[in-house]
Amino acid sequence: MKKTPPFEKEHATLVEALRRTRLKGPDERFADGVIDRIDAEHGVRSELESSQPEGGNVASRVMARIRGDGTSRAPSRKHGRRAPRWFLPLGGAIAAGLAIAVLFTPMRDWLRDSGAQVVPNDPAPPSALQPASPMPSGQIRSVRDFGGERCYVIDAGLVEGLRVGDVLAWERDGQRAGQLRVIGVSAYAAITRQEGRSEREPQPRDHVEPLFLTDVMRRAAKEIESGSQARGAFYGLGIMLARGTDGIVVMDVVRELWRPEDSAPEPSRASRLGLEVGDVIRAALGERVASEADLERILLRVDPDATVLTMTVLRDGHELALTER
Amino acid sequence: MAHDDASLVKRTLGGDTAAYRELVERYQRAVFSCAYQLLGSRHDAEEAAQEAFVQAFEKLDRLREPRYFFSWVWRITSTVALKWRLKQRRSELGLEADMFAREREQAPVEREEQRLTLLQALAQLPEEQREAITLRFWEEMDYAQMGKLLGISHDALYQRVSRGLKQLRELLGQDFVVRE
Repeated sequence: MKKTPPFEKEHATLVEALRRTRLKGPDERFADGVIDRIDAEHGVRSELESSQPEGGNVASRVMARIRGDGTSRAPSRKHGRRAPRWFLPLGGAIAAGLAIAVLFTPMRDWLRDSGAQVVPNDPAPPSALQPASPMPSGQIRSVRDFGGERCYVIDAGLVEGLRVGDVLAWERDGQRAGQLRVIGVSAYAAITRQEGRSEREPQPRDHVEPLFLTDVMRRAAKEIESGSQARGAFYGLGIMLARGTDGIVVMDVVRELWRPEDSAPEPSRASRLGLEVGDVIRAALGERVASEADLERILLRVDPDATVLTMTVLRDGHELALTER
Repeated sequence: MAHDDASLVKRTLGGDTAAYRELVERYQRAVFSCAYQLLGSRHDAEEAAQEAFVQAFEKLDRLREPRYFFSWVWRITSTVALKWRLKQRRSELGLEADMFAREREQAPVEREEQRLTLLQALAQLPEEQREAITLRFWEEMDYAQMGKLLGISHDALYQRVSRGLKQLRELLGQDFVVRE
């Protein structure tokens, strides 16, 4: 029989309470709903679908939602469309033929004929499972006219590490179609306009991703992928932090945010607090802050919209009390 | 025969949606629990859990260690649920304070209040501790199964569960009692 660890015995009543709060699982058609959503967006038929009865409430609801505002993107789409079934044996035969030809051709001749250059320690091509770095991405949500100019609202913003001036590529059917520049940003959305010439017009649901990855985006993508509760790179305030010797240091401040409702810029909360790059955050809302986790916990506990933020920071060797204006 | 997560991920990347369905069915309960802890409503938790599985499918080619699919999808779920919660905050001020209200109406008061208090405390735990506690006490896994699923040692898991329980106790206070 397996032994119960001592700490579980020590908290026996709590453990019992936890076991009692055990949830009933989700709706029984939950998995159907997920697969329906994926199928609807990606056109991939589930092998099991044919053997399943028609979708229940959840599945229908999800299908309707997806068909209305599709939000998905197949993992393999980036790497090209799926080959038709007949292509596989044909492709296999061609690959085998090429392999034999290469094996029986002296390497030097083959390289000379092909014009290729030998690169010492040439790294292997990146595997599909090992991308170089995480990439924030999003979709165009709507097309609007702002001041007579055609603009595109995308569903990625500060949380994804986007800032005014960033350049994004937009794609349709897995192919790059043009460029967009961010002209306004809010926590979860950004407003962009087309840059350069493109034969096609961006449309809702077109995929967007940064043309150049900034450090802020990298960091935001890592935060999101790691499931951190840090609200992306900016904590919903407009600051980016790093661990320093004295505590957590403000590395970047986003001063202005864009409000989706009327597209007017407004100062970020970091700006209203008066935070500066280089400040060491010592306390927030009267509680000591020693790590980013501390700050996250404090910010997640309060309703940010209904709270006047206060912070104590160390600036140029002096402690300063900051209050949101 | 049950397939391991890594082979199911690889099959999914090869275009086999049935493999992904198997992954969804395997972890739907735990993922749903994760969303529920943060959202406090069955309906929202189901929507967020579905969203998380769809996002995981879309990002599957970025998963570096396919055998740790669960841990990865758990983190995606947390992010989706937290974003959801923050958006709710913005669109409906005051909802946050009463986010468990809908559930509260439907169950006997005392026991239900205790459950909700516990859920709210769970939502405040650091991610790793919440994950370990959910697997241990809601999914009824032993430490060996958890270690295999999360790719961490027994010692590390003991520490996460032990710290999580301790912190939960602090958050709930000594007055918290288990009601029959």
